[in-house]
Parts: sequence; structure tokens; C-alpha cells
Amino acid sequence: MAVERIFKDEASEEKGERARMASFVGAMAIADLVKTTLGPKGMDKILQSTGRGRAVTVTNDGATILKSLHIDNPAAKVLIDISKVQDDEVGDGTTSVVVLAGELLREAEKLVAAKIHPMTIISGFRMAAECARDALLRKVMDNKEDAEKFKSDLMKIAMTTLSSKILSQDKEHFAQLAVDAVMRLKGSTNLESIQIIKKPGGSLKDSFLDEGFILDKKIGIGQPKRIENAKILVANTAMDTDKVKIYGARVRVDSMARAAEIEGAEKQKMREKVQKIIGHGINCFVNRQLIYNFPEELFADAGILAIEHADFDGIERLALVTGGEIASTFDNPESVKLGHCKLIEEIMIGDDKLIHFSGVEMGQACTIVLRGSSHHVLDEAERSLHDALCVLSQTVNDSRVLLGGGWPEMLMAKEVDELARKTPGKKSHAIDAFSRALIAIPSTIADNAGLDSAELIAQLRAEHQKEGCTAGIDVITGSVGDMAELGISEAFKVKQAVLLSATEAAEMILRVDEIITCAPRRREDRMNQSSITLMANSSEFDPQLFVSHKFPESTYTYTERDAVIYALGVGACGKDAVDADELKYVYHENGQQFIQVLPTFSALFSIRMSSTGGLHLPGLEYDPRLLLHGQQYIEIYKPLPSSASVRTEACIAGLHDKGKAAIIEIETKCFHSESGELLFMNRMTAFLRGAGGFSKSSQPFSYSNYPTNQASAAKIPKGQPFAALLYRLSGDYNPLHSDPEIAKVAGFSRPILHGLCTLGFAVRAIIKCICRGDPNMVKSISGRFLLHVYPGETLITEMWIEGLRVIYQVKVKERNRTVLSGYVDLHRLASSL
Amino acid sequence: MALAFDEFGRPFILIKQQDEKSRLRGLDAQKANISAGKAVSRILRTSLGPKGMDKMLQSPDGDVVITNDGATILEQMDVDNQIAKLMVELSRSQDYEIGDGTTGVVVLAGALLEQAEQLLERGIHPIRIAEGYEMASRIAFEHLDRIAQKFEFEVSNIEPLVQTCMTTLNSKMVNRCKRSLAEIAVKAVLSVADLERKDVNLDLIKVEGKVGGKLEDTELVYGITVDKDMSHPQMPKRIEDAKIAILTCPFEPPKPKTKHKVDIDTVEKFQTLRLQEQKYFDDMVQKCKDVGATLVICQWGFDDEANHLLMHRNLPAVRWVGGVELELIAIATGGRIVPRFQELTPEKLGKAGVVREKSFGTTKDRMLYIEHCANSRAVTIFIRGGNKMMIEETKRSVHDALCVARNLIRNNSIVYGGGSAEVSCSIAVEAAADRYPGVEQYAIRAFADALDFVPMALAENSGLQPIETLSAVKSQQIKENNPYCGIDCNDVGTTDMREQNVFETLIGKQQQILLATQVVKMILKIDDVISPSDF
Repeated sequence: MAVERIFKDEASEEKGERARMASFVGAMAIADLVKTTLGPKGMDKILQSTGRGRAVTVTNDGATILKSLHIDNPAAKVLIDISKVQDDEVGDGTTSVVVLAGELLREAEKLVAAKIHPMTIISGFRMAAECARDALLRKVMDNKEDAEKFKSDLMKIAMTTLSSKILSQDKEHFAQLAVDAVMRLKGSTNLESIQIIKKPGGSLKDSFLDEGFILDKKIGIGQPKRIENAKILVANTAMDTDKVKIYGARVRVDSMARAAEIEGAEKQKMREKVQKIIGHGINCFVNRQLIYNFPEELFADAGILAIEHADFDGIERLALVTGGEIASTFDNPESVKLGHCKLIEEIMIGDDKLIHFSGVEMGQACTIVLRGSSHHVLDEAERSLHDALCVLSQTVNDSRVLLGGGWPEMLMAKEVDELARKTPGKKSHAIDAFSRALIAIPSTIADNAGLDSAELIAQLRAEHQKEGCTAGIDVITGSVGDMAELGISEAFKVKQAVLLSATEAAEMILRVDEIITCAPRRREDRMNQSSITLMANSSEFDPQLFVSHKFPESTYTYTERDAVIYALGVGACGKDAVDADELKYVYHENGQQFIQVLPTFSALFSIRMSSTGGLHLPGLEYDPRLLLHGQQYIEIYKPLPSSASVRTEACIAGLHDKGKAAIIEIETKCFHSESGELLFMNRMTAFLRGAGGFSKSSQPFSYSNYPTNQASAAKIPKGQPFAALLYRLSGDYNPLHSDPEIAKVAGFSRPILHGLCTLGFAVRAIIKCICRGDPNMVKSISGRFLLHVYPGETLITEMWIEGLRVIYQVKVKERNRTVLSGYVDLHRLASSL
Repeated sequence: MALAFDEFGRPFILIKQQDEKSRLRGLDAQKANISAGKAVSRILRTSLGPKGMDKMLQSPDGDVVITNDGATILEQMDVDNQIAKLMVELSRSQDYEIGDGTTGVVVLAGALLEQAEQLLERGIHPIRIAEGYEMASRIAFEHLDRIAQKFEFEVSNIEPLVQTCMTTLNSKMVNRCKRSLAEIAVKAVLSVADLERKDVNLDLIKVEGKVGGKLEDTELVYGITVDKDMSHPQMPKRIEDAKIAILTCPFEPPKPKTKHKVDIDTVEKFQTLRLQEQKYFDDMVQKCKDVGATLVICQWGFDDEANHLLMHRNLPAVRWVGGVELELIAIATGGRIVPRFQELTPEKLGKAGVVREKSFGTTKDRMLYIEHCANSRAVTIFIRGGNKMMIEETKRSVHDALCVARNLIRNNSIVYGGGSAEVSCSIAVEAAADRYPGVEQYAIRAFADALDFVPMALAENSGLQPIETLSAVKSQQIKENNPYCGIDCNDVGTTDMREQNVFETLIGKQQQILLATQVVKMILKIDDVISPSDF
């Protein structure tokens, strides 16, 4: 018996080795992705966003790269999260942590392949991580007591951090900037009071640190450009028109004179407000909202500097650094706290005028003005500087310092190696692997710098056997150098976080032995709204209008002749002109009164294509040559009469945007003109190709669900080369099926067979094999067109019976590809089956 | 799936839209159900125990959850099969009832189903199997009572409790901070526990998480946290002995519900209106001040002017507090929610020892802590972590630890873990089986075999030889008459679980056996499955 499915249709489950494999591969792929950015000679990545404008970011910051990736692999997501945590906690080492985790997993993979249980590996890793941390702790240097040395430590750390970034050219300059800024904070980690302003122009070297606060605003005309000992009122109040806030109030006047009076009163009100503000004894007024001309003029008259429309962050920061409060009412001047600063002046950076507040009360605040040739450079510079600031501010709190340049990794690897030798049991393999993973980091750094990593690592390892060794990789000269002399240092906190988080991430992924992916949530309702822009050139296309469009009712009359031509078109009697089962479709056999009509004949009465090969759709512009028939669903309520006049009602049943293409569903109901009975319903799904790419429609049809063991019939009707030309006569005059030129435009080597014709072939075969030739047993038909068919190809229809449903698929024998799949529901089964 | 045909081959229609439904009957139905149940338990089997593996689950929206908590795995799994849903329910009810052992109960149920399948093959009627299971579960239940021991601890000495919680946290991802988390959990439980009635209301412990910071920053707050900050950045960040006015009316000009217009047609009117407006704002703030409030918590927003007036009068305020939080604050501080300024009275104010705003790390997040509330001992465990995944997993782990501590306070009877209880029960059930005449005997023996599955899975997950280890432990139990021998998962070197300090609560274990038996009985009794055929 088949194993019961317990998940929803599209959910998937991966177990054991496969799951582990999937997560290993995903995690290592991510690690390899950022691997090349590691170290001072690491390369950058260009990230292009998929959003509007295709904005470009150039960076080698691991966290930034990973943040921008859209990843589907769950294990990869874990690594991205880990790098995010690293970014939040210490701000640097985001690449290292991912690379180390990736290396750990790479080693773990080998161990798993050698049949070591993941739990054993994990406990080995844990022991190793603990040992490595202890090794680092023994070797840390702490210069907290000695201010001078501490500062030089900070400088070294900043330079090491910056050396792998875009700022490496001017790393001394920027290291100085960062250290100065952080020292001003006096131990607080509140990086908010360091403001970074980016101004394009000049070179990176022109960037500078400014004590005080810079507001990116201009000073109003006619107002003082320089104020000493400023008293600042920071406000958040309306300075345009001070509206009456009582709900429902409105001005209703009967003459212009009255209106003028009221306006006067308003002006008076504003004047009073301004007077009150001036009454605070200030000489600078900063407002979050707009200041209109009138009050501005009043301020200018009073010799007060009025700055309008500062952003909210700016206001809060200004209030913070100047020690004022943000005011909204001005009735009690004595109790409002004013901000103070020594000097306000207008300064020029590049072409821009900015307002500079210096000598503020809170001495911690400072501003770093970054200059650079382009926005990309500035953005990357800001990220790099941010990393450096984060690391420095953390180091101020935890002043333990290590040497850099792969020294800590080699140190840890040595200790871990020794532990591995001492540990009995399988764990020692894992511990050994841990040390190899650690060495991978300096070797990556060397590789990225284009050095011979194997040689260098071997040398380093030899050096580290000596006691008190300070050797590391000197990337600049490409040899083993003394890190203490070269002044390359790293913060202990960063290294520790890298070690612990990477181990944790590797452990997390190793522990997984099963991945269960839920069926993705459907997001259909959104499709109707956004969409269409791609195919509808006219911008005013309204999907709602389109959906509510009603096609005109139309009436068709068909005769037996049409039904016969159709039957021939789908190959009835194509093989044997006296086929007993099929003769009835084309001839009044055995004196039967009417010929039998194939159920798929009804498909002809779905909305007809116009003779140019397209259907007219309101407001929707598309290339009719690129239209493809996607699916057809037919429900038959009454057996089709052999000749009749029918009335059709068509409407749009669905419209989906698929990015590059649109899918429309048109539902056609067909009534008998005389009796008014509903005969059949057609639902046609058309695929309007924009630039290709097929995605699942709203009713995804999974043909993998075929019961493989019940194939009951296979039939090979030989297709005729002229099938398309014959079928065409039934009313689908789309030139795609007859004109070689048009077919070329649509991307086919020659005219293709009508999709409905293929469907007709299939259903005819089903009726013959399963219904024992009785077309009236068919209740409904659903088909999905997967691939085109060229006339003359051999079609194989495979069928499976499942209850009252016949599942079928049509293959092209020559290409062995499935071209059509679907199901046919029957009213009943033929008694002999 | 037509049931019967007339002479023309047409089926009789019995069920509405019969042809759209699929149906399974008799033995087929039972086997299908059993295989579904087994499939679920097979997924969880590898997550059992301290060395259990994790599962990685990707939600419909693409978020990743990594956990080895049985209830969470099943919850997130999005199963479609009805029987599988029953198993999910089973683990959930264990979660609600006990909070721990959610994996074990499913594994046990799976094992019972597997045994039942073999019995069905031999032609034993499902009802007889169900009855046999019922008897066996009773035997096991009583046997557990016999082998249970008491666990001693005191409020002044919480160390044993902390140790227990640490055992629980050991198998989780957060074991880096197990010590501090265990302490937090124990303190939280003790502060809401009613030791005399031996009752703990876990509802009083709110577990909150906020992305950012690190796991070590997780803390226990004796009060409520609100994810809001003071309406004005310069209001005081700390208020002692706060008297809180809880308002659902905005600090904004009145908006009568009936439609109205105020026409301004003269300058005088304009000016009076202006004055009125000012007075209105003033009055609002004054009213709050008059009743003695030192903190205003409001469901709605403030006008800029009102905001500044509040600030000016030294009346800190919080705005845009959600309805649920508002209610919580009202309950905790013993205040009343006031819908109009006119109705403010001193009695309606809530009281709290300390209200403080705390900002976190380098990010701009601020939270409001309302501590030492007048009315209740409600506490909040506030979890910090680098990402959502970590926080969610920590929440689950803390929940487990809380439950363990609670269960021990409620009922300090324990049984030893490591599969020792199961092995001991299995021996007892096996021995009892021979006394039962009739077919049930077989079912009872099968039950004993199913009980062996749990230690077997434990051994397997720990990388030991399952059969070898189990038989060794079993023979040791019988030989030494020591029901505390279990699987040595952590490779400590002894099989005596008393020495390893591995134990579970008695009620938890008993509940596991009862719930699993119940569900299996239910599944066995189903002999016809009619479902809409989903193609």
C-alpha cells in the first residue's frame, strides 16, 4: 500500500542524509560567496537591487552583502542571521563569522561521511571552541590602565578594521577620525551622538571630524549668519497657519471685507505667537515644521535666526546636544528649557551651505563629514566607518586586545590541536577538524591576497610552535611578519563573538536531520491589482474595468458538416476509414438519425479569435502572435446536438499577472438558442507571453500525482501533416497554425498544431478506449497545454482510471515530451471496465 | 469508489456527491490511518532526548524555524492528513497540560500504532486491541506511582530547581546561557507561585521578546513591559510610586459624534474660539494633574500642543498604547480605564512602584517597564536575541523550563528519566500480561513492546546500539531490582539515573501514557474514512 501523504500538496520533506546535504551545501555556498571579500586584499561585490531603478551598491561588508540576498535555502538563512547578529552585537567580523561557520560545516561534512554521528561532532566542536576561547583569554593584552597605550591600541584596531575596506587608502586618517569620535563618547556606546553627514565631492581624504553638531539646512535670508552664545529654542509647532483645531470649525463670511478682517486676525494671532517666542529671549529658533514667509520675516526683524523643517531625528538630536527641550506651546517663557551653544555659523562644505552648532552643552556629540567622489563610495565609506566605530566603542568597554593577521586563529588552532591529541574517543576527530577550520581563515586571507597560502600557513605553524610567538600573515609584503611590530590588532570581543557564533551556527545546522518546507502561501489577490504594466502599454489600464468587461453575446449556427470537419480535424477515422468506433462521428452509420458529436467540439465556441489571430481585449495591448493557449476546461451538461444554433455568453473569469506574462481566463457559457438550455461551459486560459517564463497558474495542476501502476491504455494515432490545415477549417484561423512567417515570429520553426486539436485527439482516444466509444459519457474535460505540437508528429495518449476520473497525458513520440495533460470526468464507467 | 452497480453498470448514489469523495473501509482504513500516524511519529523519533536532532522548518512565508520541540515541529508542519492532525492535537494537549514531553508522547503513540498493525495482521479485532491497551495503560499508570519518588526543595534554596531547569535547557539551542535562563525561569515561577495551595498560574508570566541585543541581556521584569516610549523625548524616564491615569480619550479637541459645523464669520468669534481651544487643552491636562496622576497612559494620540503642555506640567505620558496592553496595565496596577476626562477621580488611578523607560544598545528601541504593580505579582520574562529565530526558540525553551518548575511545585513526585521509567513499566506490564486470559493478553504484551520503543529511540539518537543497550538496561533492572536504570545518553558512565540527576515529573509521564493510549484507541476504532477526493 502506498505510504500515506500527511503533508499538504506542495509541502516537501527531506530527511536524514539528504537534509543534511541540502543544508551543508546551502551554508557552504553562502560561505564561499563572501569568502573572497575576507581580509585586507578582499574583493568587493556589486549588488544590484531588483527594485525600481536597479540601484547599485558596491561593498565588501559581509552583513550588507548577505542582507541583500534573497535566499531560499533554509540553512543559508541561518548563516545570514548569524552574520546579522554579529553586526548587531559587535559590528565587525561579519564575513569572518560566515566563513568560519562554512569551514566548520565543510569539515563536519567529511566527518559525517566517515560515519561519525553529528552529535559527537557537536560535542567535539563545543570542547574545541571552549579550548580556543581559553587560549585567546590567556594571550589577551589589556592596556586599560595606560591611557596612552590604550589609545594606540584603539588606533591599531581601527586601522586593522578599516584596512579591509574601501577606506584602506586613507586608513590612518579615518582611524584617527574614528578614535577621536569614540573617545569623545567617554565610554558610552550610544553611537547616536556621532552624526555622519555624506557630501559628494572632494576626495575621501577631505573627510573630517567636527566637534559639535551640523544641521543640513540653510539660514533664512536677511537673518544673522553667525551667532555667538546662542540661546536656542527647539520647537515642534505649526508656523504656517495656526489652524483652529476644534473639529468642524470653518470660516463662513458674506463679504470680502470680512474675509480680510479674519485674515488680519489670523495674522495677528501669528504675530502674537511669534512675539511670545521672541519673548523667550532667544536668538535662534529651530522648528520641525515649515515656517512661512510672514513669521520668518518677523524673526528676521527681531534678529533671530529661524531654521525651518528640520527632520525629526535632527530635532531630537539637536535638543539632546544643546540641552534644550522640544516646545510646542509658548505661554510660559520662564519654564521652557532653552538650548545653548557657543557659536552658530554657516559653513560651506563643497557647494552646500550647512549650519554648524559648536560648543554645545553635551560635549560628546560630534559630526563626521564624509567626502567622496560618488554616492557609492560614500555609502561604502559610511558602512566601513560604522564598523570601525562599533568595534571601537565595544573595545572602550572591553579593552582586551589581540594581535591580528591570522595570529589568533593560528594560536587557537595550535591549542585545539593539542586538545585533540589528548582527547580519547571519536570526539578527537571533530576537535581536529575544528582546528583545520580555524586555519582556513588565515589561508583564505592569504589566498585573497594572491599569496601562496599553503607555504605561508606551513611557515606560520612552525613559528607558532615557539613560545610567545607574534607571527602572522603580512599581506603587504606577502610573507610571515611580526604582528606586534606591524601594529595589527583586533578586539578580543570581535574574535570571541566570531568564534562562538560560528560554532553555534555550525552546531545549529548540524543538528538538523530533517527539513520540512511548508506549501508556500498563495498570494493571488494581489495579482489583480498591481500587474499589467508590462503588457499594457497604456498607463491608464484599469484591471478592475478589464475584469468587469462583458463580451458581446454572439450566436453561432453549426451544422452536421461542421461537426464532421471537426471530427476529421482531430483525426477521427484517420487510420482506418471504416473504424467501427469512429465512423459515427462522420457518417450516419447503421441508419442512426444523427451523427455523434465529439465533446471537444464545444471548445470551438469559446470566444473566437479574430481572423488576425487575436482576441479583442479592452485596454489590453499585447502582441497577438505571442498568445498561447494554456488550459482548457470543458463541462458538458447536455449531449451536443449534431446541428444547432447556439448563443454564447462570455466573461473574464480571471486575470493574473505573472511578471513577464499575463494569464487571462475567459469563461464561455453556451445555450441552445431555441430551448435556452445550458449546453456546455468552456473555460479557456490564455497565456500572453511578454518575454517568456512560465509560472504556475492559480489552479496548479500537479501531474506528478499520476498513480504509476495503473496505466491501462496507450494509443498511438498517427498524426497527419495536414492536420493543422484541416483543423483550421473548424474556425480557428489564427495564422500561427498556417503561416510559416508568423510561426517564425512566435518562435517556432514551422506552424504548430492547434492546442485544442491536440485536446481533441486525446479525448477522442479516451472515448474510444475507456468509454467504449460513447461520447455522451463525458462529463467534463480539463486539459493543460504544456508544449507545442508540430503537425505530423505521433501523439501517444496515456490514460489512468481513478474512480470516475480518467487522467491522461499526451506525449509526442518523436521528442518524448509531454505536451498535454489533464483529466476527463465521466458520468459513469463503461460496464465492461 | 462506487459501492454497488445496477444492471446497467450505474452506481447507486448513497452519499451526496459521492463521486467526488474517496472512501477507505475496514482493514484498509485502519492500516492507512496507522501508517499516517506512524509517519508523524517517525518524523519526531529522531528529536527525542538530549541528543535528539533538530528539525528545520520553512514556513509558508519562507521564515526558518529550527527546533527540537515536538509541539512546535508538529504545529509548524502544516499537515493535511486527518490522522496526522490527531497526532498534532495529541502533542498539543500534552503541551497545554504539562508543557514537556511533547515529543515522547507522539513517539509512544507511534509505537503503539506500529504494534497494533502487527496484531491486526494476525486477525485480532481492533476493539480487542484497544481494550488490551487500555488495561495495559492502567497497569503502567499504577506502576509509575509505585516507582515515583519525592523531590525536595525549598523557597530559600532554589538550587535544585535551577539544576532541573538546566537539564531541560541542556538539549536546546540556548544552552550557552542555560544557567541564567534557568535562574530566570525559577525566579519567575516562584514569584507567581502560591506555595500553600501548590498552584502556579503561568498566565501571570508573560514571555516577551524583542529583536536586538544578545541572549545574555534577557531579564526578568517584575511587572509589565510595554513596547512604547514617552510621548515627548524629554519627559522623565523614571517615575517612582507612579499614579497612572489610564485613558481611552485622546488629548485632542472634542469630536462630537453628531455632524456639526462651527461657523466663523467675525473676528470676535475667531478670537473666542481660539481662546476656548487653548483653554480646552489646558483643562484636559489640568484634570489629569488635579486627580494626582503622575503618569498618563492613553490609547490615542496627542496633539503637539497637548504633548508639550503635558511635558510642561511635568506629567509624563505614553500614547498609542494598544487596547490589550491597556487592559493588562489596568488589571496589574489596579486602575480603571477612564473614557472621559470628566470621569477621572483619584480612586480610578492605577499604582505602580516604578515606571521606567529603558533604551537598548546602539539601536533606538525603547521600552516602558511598569514594575512593582499594586495588584498582582505578574512578571515578564523579556528575551533579547539577535534574530527572530533565536528569540522564538528561546521563548519555547523558557516555556519548557517554566513548565518543569511549575510541575515540580505543583506535585513534587518524580520518576527518573533516560527511559528508565518506560523500561520499568514495560517489565511490569509484560509480567502482568500473562495473568489476563483472552486475546487482550496479546495487546498487553504489544503495549509492553511499544514502551520499549522510547528508550530504544533514545539510545539510537545517542549513537548507541539500540537493541544491545536496551536489553542490557532491562536485564540490569530485573537483576538488581532497580527501576532507575536508564539509557546513558550523555556518556557519563553510569546507567543509574539517580546519579545522573535526570528525572521527569510523575504527572508528565503518566499523562504521556494516558494521552497516547487514548489517541491510539481512537485511531483504531475508525474503520471508514470518507474524504473529498482532492485532485
